[in-house]
Amino acid sequence: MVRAKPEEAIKEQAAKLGAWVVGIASAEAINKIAPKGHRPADLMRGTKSVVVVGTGVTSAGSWRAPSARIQASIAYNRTLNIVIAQQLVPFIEKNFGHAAMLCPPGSANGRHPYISLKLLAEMAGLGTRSMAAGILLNRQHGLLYFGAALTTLELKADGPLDEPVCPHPSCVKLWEKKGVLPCLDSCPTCLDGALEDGAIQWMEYRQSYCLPRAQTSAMASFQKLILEAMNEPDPQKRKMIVYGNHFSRAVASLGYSAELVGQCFECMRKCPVDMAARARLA
Amino acid sequence: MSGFLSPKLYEKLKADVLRLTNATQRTERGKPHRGHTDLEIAKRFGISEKQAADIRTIAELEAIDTSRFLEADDWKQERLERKKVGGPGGAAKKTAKRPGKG
Repeated sequence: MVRAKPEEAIKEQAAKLGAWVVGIASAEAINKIAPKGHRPADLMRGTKSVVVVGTGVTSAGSWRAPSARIQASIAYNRTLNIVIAQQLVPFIEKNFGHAAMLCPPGSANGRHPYISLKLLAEMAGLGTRSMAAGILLNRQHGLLYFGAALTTLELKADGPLDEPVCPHPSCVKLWEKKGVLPCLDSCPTCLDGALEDGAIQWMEYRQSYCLPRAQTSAMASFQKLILEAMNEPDPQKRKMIVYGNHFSRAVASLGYSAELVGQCFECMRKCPVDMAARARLA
Repeated sequence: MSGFLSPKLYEKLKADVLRLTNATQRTERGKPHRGHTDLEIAKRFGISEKQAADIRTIAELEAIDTSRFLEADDWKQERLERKKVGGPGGAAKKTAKRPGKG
């Protein structure tokens, strides 16, 4: 049994396992925001706390890739968060005698998750929603990916941050001077919004533009192309679709779980919060 | 074929369901966005949760033109190579006073 306070011991263990950040969210606080069917207790009865871990996948080096395709091909590597969270489960159960469970990663139905990892991370104080599609930005590490473990152990929650990470002071200046922002400027079809008094006044995100960029060769791409092929009456044209490079990539993505999600970084590329985080890495 | 969503039901509800999902997320200060769950959509239209999930999933995919997948790599590379924020092809200049829909 560990002698430290559970919160300290769990966070120390998460860091040992490779977490860049770790925070604790209260299930009660999450329940006030998450809809019925997507709350911690809907996944594991009696959940009191959620331990959220985060790691950065895009290294300083990967941002130097001259090709968006190269960066996209290594972005889907969220395994680390799941592995860390999965190992925290027995750590909690063995050391503190409370039930724990890995928060299911991935989607439950369509693009709906079992539970919003973004909300969990937000409520664990690991970042705040940004102008860039509401992506959670961490003040120290910028863009992160998350995993979580649910537990019946009552832990002192970190709670959400008091001050928003976005907008960065340089973005506020740029907005006041030129009326543009790096994220909105990079992707005016996916994103829209405005600042007012140094804060986000409104933000809009459009999945129908973002998804084909963030999941260029993923499941949806496969579905769209296979229907195109089935509807194509000309066998030669059908062959061009099915044997073509894009469909081949989609099939490979499904087979090897590579290039499935996280294939677009353009709204983050010139984000000063993330750029500063990259500069701290190398 | 039984077990699959009726195309008639889909055509009837797809636009309304799509408006309620997370397909477009608009957050305003003090008014955070939350898309409807399948259960909430089902209750609203008097259909089953499974039917709501099917309509949402199909409508979200149908809303995306196939060409956007095929053109995405070139689009991302073009954005990667842009040097300057506010240059050609970027967002138009705006003001914080802009009201209403984006």
